Amino acid sequence: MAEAASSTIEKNNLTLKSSYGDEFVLEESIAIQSVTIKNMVEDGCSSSVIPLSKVDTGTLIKVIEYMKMHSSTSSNEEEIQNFDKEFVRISIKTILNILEAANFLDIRSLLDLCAEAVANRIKNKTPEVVRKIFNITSDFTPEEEAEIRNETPWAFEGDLDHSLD
Amino acid sequence: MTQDSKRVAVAWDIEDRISYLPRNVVDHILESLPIQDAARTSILSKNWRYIWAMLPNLVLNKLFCNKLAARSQYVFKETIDKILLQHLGDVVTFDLDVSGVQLSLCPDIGRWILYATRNGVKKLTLNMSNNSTYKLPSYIFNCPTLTRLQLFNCVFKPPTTFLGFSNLVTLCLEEITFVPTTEFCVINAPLLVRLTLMYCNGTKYLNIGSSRLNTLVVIENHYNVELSFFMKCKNLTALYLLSNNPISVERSKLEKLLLSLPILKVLGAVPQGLPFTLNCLWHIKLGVNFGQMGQISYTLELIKSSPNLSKLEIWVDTTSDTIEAVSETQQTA
Repeated sequence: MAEAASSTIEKNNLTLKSSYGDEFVLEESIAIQSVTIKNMVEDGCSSSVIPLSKVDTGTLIKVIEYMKMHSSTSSNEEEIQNFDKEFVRISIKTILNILEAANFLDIRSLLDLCAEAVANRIKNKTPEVVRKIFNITSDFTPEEEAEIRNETPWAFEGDLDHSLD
Repeated sequence: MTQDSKRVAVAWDIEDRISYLPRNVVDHILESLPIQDAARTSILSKNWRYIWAMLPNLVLNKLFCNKLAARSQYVFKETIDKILLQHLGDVVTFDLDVSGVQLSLCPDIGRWILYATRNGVKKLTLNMSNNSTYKLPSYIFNCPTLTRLQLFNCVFKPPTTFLGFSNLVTLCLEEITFVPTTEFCVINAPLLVRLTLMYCNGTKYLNIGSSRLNTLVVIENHYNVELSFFMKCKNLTALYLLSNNPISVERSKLEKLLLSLPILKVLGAVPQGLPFTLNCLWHIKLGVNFGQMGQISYTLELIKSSPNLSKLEIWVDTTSDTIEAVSETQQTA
């Protein structure tokens, strides 16, 4: 009986491999929060290692941390909310990496969380500051910029934030 | 670290990642922003020029509309007109909340809704101010792409040519006045799954039924909705009937309805007493006035007639001296 139980547990583990070649063993029930992984499991591709060629090791560690917390039955709603809040207190570069991974792995709640975190760094900011935060280089001439401002003047009114955080 | 890998690392750090994310992800970010913040991204670079104009979900919320209307009626109309003129591609969601705008904008609203209905709108929300007598334009009734319709404070008078909402899944009507064209206002919505009617007028003559209906919420001051129309909704699993005036539900009609629903699992209602067994019911939500003995005994009766109950929620009117009564009832339950 005990043997059967342990083999069931083993059967329910998946190995995820990052783009750097690092392998992580994760319970299937946790990993299938990712629709992409769930589909792979359902299609019978889960017997071997699942290669995630678009996800680097650091990002995969964060994604696994998120999935573990969100499948834990011992944490309540408030704990999860606090976890989410802390989870996105990271550099914008890391958030963008996780965002892209969440899109590829199809984890809706993580995609929502990161999209909102990115949005919060755009909200109320001047275009100059947004460009700085995200390393965007403007390729408009001053005339073109003036034309865009003129098209949607209501978007450029009010007290906009000049700070970088 | 070699010279080359250092250069790569530096390049990686200063790289413009956000502009090269998949388009659906960029859309998702912009849709998490209020419209003025999303629109402002059009100036970031050529890459960003038309992304906001192509966003399929247009949300003109209360805050945004109020802010524009505070300037002038002209600015408000002009801005919304221009947003729609600039928009590229389909409008999947159109959400307009003018509940805080005290202006006579009816012809303009009709034009904006026309735009949405002619551009494939699936989810439409229109929020008018309290006591508005705005009559919904006929385009709404002739829009086969609609899957979700939410309306607040309007007059609902379908044109005589109205054939129904062929693809509607969710319908939420709040403070809507129904004006029947024939004797009954029949709304044919074969795919409807969720229906909410809150504080509507003229519901007495309303007949909306769908064999797929799963959730029905009716909140009224006095019950007018003809419950027997929902007896054919055999897939109903959650039913919420709430009224400020509990005695207005005819007990026999409610009993008949409940007994005709074979898979009802969640019932939220003012207790009316149910001398029969509801085997499927596992979740009950009740608003109980513990000051009235009658309601307490009704509650117990309902609990007793639901042998498979696993979740019980009771809201209490705290104006009366109720705490003891609540705990006693909970222990009994």
